[in-house]
Amino acid sequence: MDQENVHFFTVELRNGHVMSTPRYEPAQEFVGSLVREVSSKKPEFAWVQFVFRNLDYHPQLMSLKAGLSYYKRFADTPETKTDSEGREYAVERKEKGTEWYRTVQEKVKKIDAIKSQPTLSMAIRGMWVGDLDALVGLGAFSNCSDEIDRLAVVPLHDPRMLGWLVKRRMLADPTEYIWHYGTMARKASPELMLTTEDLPYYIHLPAGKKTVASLKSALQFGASSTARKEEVKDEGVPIFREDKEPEEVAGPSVDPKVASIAELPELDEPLKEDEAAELRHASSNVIRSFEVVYDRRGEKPAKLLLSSRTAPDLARFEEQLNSVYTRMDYVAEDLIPAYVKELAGAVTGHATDSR
Amino acid sequence: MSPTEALLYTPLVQFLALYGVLYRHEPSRLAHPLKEKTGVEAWGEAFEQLGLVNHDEVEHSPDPRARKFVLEMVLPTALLSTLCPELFLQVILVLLPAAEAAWGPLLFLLQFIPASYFLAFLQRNYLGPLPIHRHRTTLPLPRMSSMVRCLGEKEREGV
Repeated sequence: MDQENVHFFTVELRNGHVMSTPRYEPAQEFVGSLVREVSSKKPEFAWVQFVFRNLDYHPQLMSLKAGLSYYKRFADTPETKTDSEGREYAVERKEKGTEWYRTVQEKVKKIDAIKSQPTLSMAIRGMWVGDLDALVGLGAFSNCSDEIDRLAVVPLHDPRMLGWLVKRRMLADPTEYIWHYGTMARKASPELMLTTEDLPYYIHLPAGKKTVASLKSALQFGASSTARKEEVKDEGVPIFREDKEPEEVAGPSVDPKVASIAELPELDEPLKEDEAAELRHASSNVIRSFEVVYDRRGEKPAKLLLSSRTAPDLARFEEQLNSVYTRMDYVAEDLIPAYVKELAGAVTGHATDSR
Repeated sequence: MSPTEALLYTPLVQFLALYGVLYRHEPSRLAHPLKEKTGVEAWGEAFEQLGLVNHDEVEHSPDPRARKFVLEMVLPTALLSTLCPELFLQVILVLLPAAEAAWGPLLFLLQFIPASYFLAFLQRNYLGPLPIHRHRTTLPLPRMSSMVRCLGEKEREGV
């Protein structure tokens, strides 16, 4: 394993416009498209995480809207200057000619559209062992867009990122990026602010005859596609359901619980709009994640993982997916993928050899 | 050292002034630099934190950055700072004898030379690129991930 070939990445807003809520169209095709693209690029290993939790961004959004409106009013007010003879005259402010001014109205409109919906924070990030250009060029991400901004893959090479991936950590206060928008230096937030309506665009299972057929070599399919939520009731198999003890506290030091979907249902058609809308409830106050892990060496190289900070919440997450899709079995997974453990051996072994 | 001497014979104030001007949109950059930690030792530490390797297995070599910091940053800055009154000022006074009356302000300005060197080096090796104006609509790509600022956060600071 070549350590130089190991890249981490975050998926950020291309231009850091915090109110943007990019989506991949058509709906419910993002995960399929991502897995298909990763499989076609054949990295040695890829790990893509969508870590999310409910977070109320509304106070910050309202404050941002006020700031943007103030900026517009200021730019619209002509500047008074005095000529050499002491006569006053009005000139247009230079702010009025800027791109920032031209896009203010659109941003305010976007904030108005978001303000009536619950918001959540989502970190999209991961690890990629393979060609850097292939990672940066992942079209599934760059095609997620809205009228304001789009997503971009930004690589980094700092191994401290591993801790964030394994512990499924999120920023304590991502709202600072909204506070600072337009008032301090521009920087893109490592976490996206989305509405719960956007969640089904990222958290879903591959569906559709063509999509399923194209993914059969990468993912394990087999769960019944006929048993839909009406028939499922309570017979899903959440692996931690027997846990009757008081709920653990989802503190930052608690290790997340991880499970993989053993077999995906072969869905002939994508969910109907109202069925897919139920995926909006997949967000919780507890940090959860939906992950794609790809290990080239496997017979079925890709698998989909779920995680939560607490076992009961993971069981709830599984039940939610079962109720939207079909009865699926879940397999308890280690926090750390096997490839990463082997990488640890390889890197430290290399260090010992080179001493 | 009196405050006046510090002002004239060290580039401290000049460095702070330059930093204040160039990083005014992101003054916290000194505390949250855009700097990645890479190399075998960083990998070892990351694996050690996850319990994948033992402390003994991790390569703990003396930090070469400390030596580099002294050799490439502190020494040249100190040298340039010393040359300001001893050489640069003298040359200016020889060429422009009339400047004798303003030697104090002149020396103050000359100390911007070592301060600029120090800041340029710090920017390249620690602070990262200059902050982007708050009203710029597009961000550069490729760029360093914003996540780099947060990687040093202790677990209790994140969630």
